[in-house]
Amino acid sequence: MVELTETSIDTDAVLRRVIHPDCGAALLFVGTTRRWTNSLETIRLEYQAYREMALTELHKLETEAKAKWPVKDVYIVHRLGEVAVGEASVAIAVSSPHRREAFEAGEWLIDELKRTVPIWKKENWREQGPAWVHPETVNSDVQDSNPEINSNTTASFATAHDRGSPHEPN
Amino acid sequence: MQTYRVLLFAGMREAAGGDWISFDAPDVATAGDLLRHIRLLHPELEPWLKISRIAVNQSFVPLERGVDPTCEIALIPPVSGG
Repeated sequence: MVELTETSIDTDAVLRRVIHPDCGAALLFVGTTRRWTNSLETIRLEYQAYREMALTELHKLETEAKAKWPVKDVYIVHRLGEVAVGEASVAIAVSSPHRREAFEAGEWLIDELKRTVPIWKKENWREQGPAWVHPETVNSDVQDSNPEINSNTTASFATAHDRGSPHEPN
Repeated sequence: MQTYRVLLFAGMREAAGGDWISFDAPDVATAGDLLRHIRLLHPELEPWLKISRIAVNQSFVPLERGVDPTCEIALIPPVSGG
């Protein structure tokens, strides 16, 4: 099950959705807006999605996780719009018969979500103002579909790198 | 002459002043041709064009793939969800 929402995420409900009598493990990951990135203060984050494609990509991640690990249920929710400091932008819950698979699948899901799902984050720094975040790390799929891209590519607009390290909410 | 409409996201929307761009082009055949047209018509998008991929009907396509103007076409800059 995957979902995009404009309202706050009920993380308890996300966890409850995957708890299952056949499983001995239920894991919940919550990504939240962090106030400080080194010495830079975040006021809030704002998320935008290519909604249809993001849902398709999230579904793919759920299917792939279930193929890779013996997980019973997967529930992923990503929030869109403004997310205040301390609030959840993403929640991922996984259940499995044994804990190891749940931990592995959960970590893989958040890593892949950040790498592949068309959702973008806009930083609102207290000092420097707003800036969309476009990570500089370029993976091989991108290189395949755009030969001008190489691993040293740096965009000339405000990337997270210009303002410190990329905002990692988790 | 065919009309192409391309969806934009994140900083590209602000740079172009809208959620999409559209233009008429006589000789667009592939995703790479499309990118070349956008480059000429929208120099303000150049910083993102260097690092973006093209999605057709919500799937990434290689530059040599043919693009039909009736498809949903989008420019996808590097993602930063989570």
